[in-house]
Amino acid sequence: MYENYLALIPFFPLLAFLLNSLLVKNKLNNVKAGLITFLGLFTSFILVILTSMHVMENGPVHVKLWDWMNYKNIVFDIHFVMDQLSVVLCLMVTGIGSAIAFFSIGYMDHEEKVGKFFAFFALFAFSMLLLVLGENFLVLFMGWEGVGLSSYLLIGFWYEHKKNGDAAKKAFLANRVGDFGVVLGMIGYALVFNTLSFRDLQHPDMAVIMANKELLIGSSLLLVLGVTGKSAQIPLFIWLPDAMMGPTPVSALMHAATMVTAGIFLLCRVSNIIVHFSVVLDVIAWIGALTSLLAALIAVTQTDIKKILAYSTVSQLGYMVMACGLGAFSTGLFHVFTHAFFKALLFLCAASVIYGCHHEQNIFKMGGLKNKMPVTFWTFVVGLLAIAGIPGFSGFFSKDEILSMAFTNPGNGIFLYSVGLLSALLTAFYMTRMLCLVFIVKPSHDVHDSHHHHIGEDNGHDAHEIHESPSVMTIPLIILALCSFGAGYVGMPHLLGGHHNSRLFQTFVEKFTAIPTGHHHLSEETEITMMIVTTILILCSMGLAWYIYVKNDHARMRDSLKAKFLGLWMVSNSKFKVDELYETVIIKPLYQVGHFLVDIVETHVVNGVVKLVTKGVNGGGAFLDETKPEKLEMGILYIIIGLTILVTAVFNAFIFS
Amino acid sequence: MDQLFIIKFLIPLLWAIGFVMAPKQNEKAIKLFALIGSFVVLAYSIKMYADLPDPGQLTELFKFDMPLFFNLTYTFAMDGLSGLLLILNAFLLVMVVIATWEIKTDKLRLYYFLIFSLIWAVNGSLLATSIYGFYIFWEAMLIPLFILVGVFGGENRRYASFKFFLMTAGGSILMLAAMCYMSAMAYKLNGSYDLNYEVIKSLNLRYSGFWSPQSLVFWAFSIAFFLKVPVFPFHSWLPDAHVEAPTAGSILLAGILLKLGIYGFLRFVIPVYPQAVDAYRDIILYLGAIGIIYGALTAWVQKDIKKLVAFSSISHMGFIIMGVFSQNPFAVKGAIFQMVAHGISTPGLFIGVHYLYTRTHTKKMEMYGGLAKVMPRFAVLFFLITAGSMAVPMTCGFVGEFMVIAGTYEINKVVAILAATGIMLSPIYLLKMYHLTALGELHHEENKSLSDISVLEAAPMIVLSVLTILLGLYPKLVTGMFEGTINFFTHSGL
Repeated sequence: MYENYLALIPFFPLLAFLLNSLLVKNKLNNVKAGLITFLGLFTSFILVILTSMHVMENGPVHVKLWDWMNYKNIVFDIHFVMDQLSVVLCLMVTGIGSAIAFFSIGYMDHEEKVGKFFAFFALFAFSMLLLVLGENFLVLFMGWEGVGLSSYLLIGFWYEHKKNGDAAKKAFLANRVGDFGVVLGMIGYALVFNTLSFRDLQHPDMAVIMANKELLIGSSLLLVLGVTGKSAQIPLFIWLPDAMMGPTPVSALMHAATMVTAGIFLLCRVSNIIVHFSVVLDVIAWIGALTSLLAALIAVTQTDIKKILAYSTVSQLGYMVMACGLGAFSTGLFHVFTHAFFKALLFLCAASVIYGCHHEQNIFKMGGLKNKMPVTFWTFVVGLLAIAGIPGFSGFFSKDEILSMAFTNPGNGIFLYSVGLLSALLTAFYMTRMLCLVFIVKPSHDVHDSHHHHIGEDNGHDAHEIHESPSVMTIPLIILALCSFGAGYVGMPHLLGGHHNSRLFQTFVEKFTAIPTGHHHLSEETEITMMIVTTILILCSMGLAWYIYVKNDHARMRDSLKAKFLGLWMVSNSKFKVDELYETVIIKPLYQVGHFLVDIVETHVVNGVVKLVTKGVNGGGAFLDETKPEKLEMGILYIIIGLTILVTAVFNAFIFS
Repeated sequence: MDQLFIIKFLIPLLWAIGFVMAPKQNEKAIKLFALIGSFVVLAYSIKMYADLPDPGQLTELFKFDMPLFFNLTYTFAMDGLSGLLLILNAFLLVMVVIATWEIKTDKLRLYYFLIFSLIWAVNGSLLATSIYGFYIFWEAMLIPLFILVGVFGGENRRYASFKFFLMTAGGSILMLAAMCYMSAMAYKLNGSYDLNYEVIKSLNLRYSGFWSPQSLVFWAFSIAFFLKVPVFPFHSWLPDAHVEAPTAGSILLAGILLKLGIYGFLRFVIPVYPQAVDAYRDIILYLGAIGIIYGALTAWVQKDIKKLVAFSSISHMGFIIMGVFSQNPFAVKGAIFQMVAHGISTPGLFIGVHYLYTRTHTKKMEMYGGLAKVMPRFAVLFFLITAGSMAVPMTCGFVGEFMVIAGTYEINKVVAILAATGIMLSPIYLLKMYHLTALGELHHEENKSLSDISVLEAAPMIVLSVLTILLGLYPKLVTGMFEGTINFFTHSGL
């Protein structure tokens, strides 16, 4: 029975996709299109709940659909599994997905082509479910690229504007660079272990690992490249901020809560292998830590509400990746879990704000929305406290565990800890800054560097028209706010939960993933002190933001700060010029190579040989064409002599030898 | 032996002759005749495959003795691989007839005559197993295509058709020379000049370095096939031919004619010259990998959409040649699958280009833009086919590329990694094409009144899109057809 449920879980979103895409001609009205996708996701959600109850008691459920291909004894099959890892992700994808689909019914109400939007939405859910339910690398990879493709389609949803199309293309290409790594990494694993099934990779043979160390390290690093693509880490993070061109609910689901966490999911899937290679772990940890810091530094000076959230996502993803690099895969996944709720919440709040402000996205043009949008405001506050890591809210539990894992990590743990702490403080700062500017301070109209990222009506910002969003949008906000508060309690530290209620989530996940080893033990006092100090520092950071943007005239304060730290401000505001760097170092030279190949190699070398031959033949013909008969005779004579020599030589060499 | 074989085999030719005799005025009837003919060819191709007792074995269908002419015999035989390509060939014929249904020309009868005789020649070279028979049909393929490009082609058609003809025929001369030599050897061995399949396999030419007979014969055949595939750097005729060829020519050229080069390798090179294949394998693997990257980068900078697709073909064919020469069973299987996948996606792209060209009368991509607004049906189907060409998983393009890379990785990691860069490069040019065509603003005034494709026009693209997804999800549909033959195409030296 549960096998059938499992097979049906991805089927319902697929059905919703097909219905929405095939009925598009018949002009389904917006609400119906939305309901189809919502119901598709919600049905899957119920099935996921039913199946996951079974899984929690009786262990993984498998369903094998058909053989895709086989090679020697490696079977590539279309095979789903609901195990400890998939349970978590499935609940997130279908649960948060349903909430966001419901929200979108309201948000997309006035748009055109809504059927298309909900079709892509359902396609995304389908691909994501393939990714998390796949029992082997192949199905995972199908979902992996499927989410990339649906993300591409949704980022370019308003394709009439070149900017959106470019952002979509950039996302797809960056992901494809990662996919290059995933394909090669997966092939490497397949050749070493003779299997692609995660069930087998969970308990790899140590002798095999040691015998193929170099190949496995290389393959693992290639997989890490894939992770940096999908989960927007250095060096491939550049696509995620641009991905905000898509409709905001989509950013909430894909570019914040679920899709971008696929990289961490992949690391968990192969955790039992990479945990044996400290060099791979170190690379992962440093990529995560540096990404987390870099993105937080950029977020501090951004003005577009969605860009700030995007960089915040990159930064939080860095946290999760760092946790994996510390060997604490379950903790990383725990942060994936809590982050999904509060980041979806924050994005939907942003969507609500953008909807209320008629597609204004510049936070300096907002302000004072606290009273006009009370539900949005209070739910946003919950999201803020969660992401900042205030004790009691979900983000606190996961973030704190990552920091203590870093702190107790032997070797360079203390550096990772400092970087992590610094980005936590920055996060608290820029999120508070956003809260102040959007909801609390009075709007100022002297800002000129406006960013109109959204298309459509350019009917400026008018404070009188701002209104709270309809309840179809606020209900999901409230649900997500409750989860953002409560989700952390499933993974409390020993200190707070005692022996029976602590680390429930982590222990559950560790039935699949590798268990963190080699960490120092922390005494209770140290742990408490660390928690308190971190919390105080975070509160200070929030207070600082409050002081700059609320207590003072923020425009003046901002200018004076900007003047003082102009260099830093410029660097942060220009996003460290990473885009420009790639453009000049990689893309343009490559394009030049293409030009060189076409203009020089193709014309003068490849075609040159052809031309040379033609010329030779022409010359020979012209020579024979001369009217003097003796010359013609000479020509024929030469040909006969030549042929005779050739034939004799050939026969002598090969036949009569 | 199949008594009716010769009739079945001659159907396309008979049909072609039928066009010659058809009344000139009634265009509709001629087109209908062509449509029926294409389905008949498809039906008998499928029937012939279904009748095979064992697709894994080469089954002799017909033998034709010529006692007065050096005692040569012409043998026709078929196995899973030739059956698969036979069906692909007939399927593409159906696609061509439907996609170019609206063609406007006063030489309609000539048009269909050429197409059907081209199909016939392809069938001939797929079924002939005596090397002289193969050679005759191989050369015969050139003539209809030469005329097709030369008569129905674009502005620069003469240059293109001559270049295409001379380059491929030039390669064939090398092949002919090698055949003469082999005949002489066969005479020494058997007292007969005959070169049927058993004889060539039993020749066992001596191999000892580059100047030894096996190596020279291998290179003579290889260069002839390289020119056909075409493998970098023998490709210079392909972009010209594609750009100038009418759509029917482009579809058949990309869809099936290029694969004949690969088929030639599989049938007449790999099982016959094992030591030479082993010795030169790495060189050819590198040529394949370079072709993948070269084709992708050159496709990227093109401004002409048809040229872009043509260069993308070079990139895709790189995968196939690599898979074949890796001699790893999985990669060989993938390469054969990729022949089918490329035979679906590239004709699909050419059909799309055809619809664009008949509407806008230009192939410059800068003259398109934002067409999704006015041609939504086209935009969706074109995207599905582009995704297939881009090798997105769950489409047929992915299956072949994945299998080739995986199989080659076991043999030569560097080459596999070079080839895998194709994963990164293919979306660069294909998305560029799609974005310039369908997305963005509809900024050209004259494009605002374009009509979307009709149901009839959409039909071939729908069929191709459905196949793209179906084969991506269930590749065994195709691999099952030729699986048993793989052992013949990977010699035991490995």
